Amino acid sequence: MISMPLRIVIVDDEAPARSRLRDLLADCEATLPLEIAGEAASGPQALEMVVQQRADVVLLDIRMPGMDGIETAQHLRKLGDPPAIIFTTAYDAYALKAFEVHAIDYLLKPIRAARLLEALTQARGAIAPKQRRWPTCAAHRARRYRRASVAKCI
Amino acid sequence: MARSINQNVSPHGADAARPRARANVYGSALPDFRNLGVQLRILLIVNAVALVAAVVKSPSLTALGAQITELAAMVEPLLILTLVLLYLLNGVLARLPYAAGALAVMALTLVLTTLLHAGALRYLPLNVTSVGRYWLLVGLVTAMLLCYFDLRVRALSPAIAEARLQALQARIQPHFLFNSINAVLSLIRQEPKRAETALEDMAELFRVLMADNRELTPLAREVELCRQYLGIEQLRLGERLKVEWHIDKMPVDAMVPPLVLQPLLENAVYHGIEPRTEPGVVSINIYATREEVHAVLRNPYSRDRDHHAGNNMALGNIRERLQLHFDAEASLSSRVSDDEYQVRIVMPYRKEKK
Repeated sequence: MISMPLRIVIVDDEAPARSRLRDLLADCEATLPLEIAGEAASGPQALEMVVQQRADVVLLDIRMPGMDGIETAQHLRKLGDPPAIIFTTAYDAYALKAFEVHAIDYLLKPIRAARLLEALTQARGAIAPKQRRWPTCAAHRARRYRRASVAKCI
Repeated sequence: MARSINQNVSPHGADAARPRARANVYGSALPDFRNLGVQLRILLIVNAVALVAAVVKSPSLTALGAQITELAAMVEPLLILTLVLLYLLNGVLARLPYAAGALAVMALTLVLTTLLHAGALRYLPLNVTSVGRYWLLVGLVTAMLLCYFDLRVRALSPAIAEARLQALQARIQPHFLFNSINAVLSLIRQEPKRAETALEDMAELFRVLMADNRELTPLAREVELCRQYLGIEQLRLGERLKVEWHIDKMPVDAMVPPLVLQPLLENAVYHGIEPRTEPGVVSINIYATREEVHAVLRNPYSRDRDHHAGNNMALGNIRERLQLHFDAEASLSSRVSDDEYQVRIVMPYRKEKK
């Protein structure tokens, strides 16, 4: 189970910020098995991507035009099997709000690889129990929507 | 260039800075008599005193009108003549030590009083009394005004005004710093050359942001700085940020307070472009009339998405700096229409000393 790579979605409205996270995730890959399931430039795109790609972790920017990161996180939490949320932001003013939506971690830009790895490790810890609880489902997850598979198992 | 700015002694370029510079050495200083704000203050105060005198002198309310007219006939010619002479002699007075300058102003007003009094005696059918009384009156009002301007210069004394300028200047937006560092970090692996340019631009920008920015700077330099700033923002925002420059008629040699435009652009990006999903245009229009420099900035605006607290702070900051440099001669106004936000700055056109 541990060897299953973490599926990560990157959400940021700024292309360079997404590119930076890609680089950092590539650095983390050696220590922690992970794959980039997709990238989104806005909240609605992110919601679609997370459902489609069955992401385990969402790296979520807070200040985005239209639907911001906090609102996106509120929608993500309502999913049947919500992904772990790690906020990424240049502002530390949002920290309290961020934990109100049960984020796993809150990373300040510019982000260090070591700090990102720490957050991802924590996220994996939070996800692992879920995977153990529904071992048979884990095999199907690769092909089905998260919400559907959870409903089936229950 | 930096030397010429620091040694700013041109007759026009340094008018605003000179009283403070002199005050540094002498403690007290004559006001800049070519400054519109100073002239307005003199006009207002003298007329207020004349009005009070008329009220005191007038036996009844009905006689007040006649009393005011009579006093005005004495006061206004003297006042206007004094202002014109002070305007012309401003350069000479500025070079004198404060005490000599103040005495010269006092002597000037008394001599003018004597001449006007003599003229009135001869040509006007007015009931004018002995010249001694007018000397006393004029002398008192002049002394009062000199005291007022001295106090005012002290209130805006170098220590206070400059500390205020420094404090106003030093506000670097943290979100800008961290977002730009992040943008540069993202370029280092894939596009090292662009990362280099971006870091150079950032260094330049922060050098100015952190510099001692009390002296005026050429407009061309400020525009260059704005371009560097927008270059950095373009890295992050890409297609979302479109910039239109209309600066063909820009007076490149005009002297302006440093960082008078860049914070406004920062606002335009933060409030006008970042909250939008679709691309937006920031337009900068700079032109000069004979005596004024106009800078107009526009950015898209939408009521529902905007939050204006930070914006007002930046506007207040720039307005205060404009006032410290140019007093009443500069202005900053903003206007919101349905989908556009516009800021207009008007400054006196002061040329760079060659």
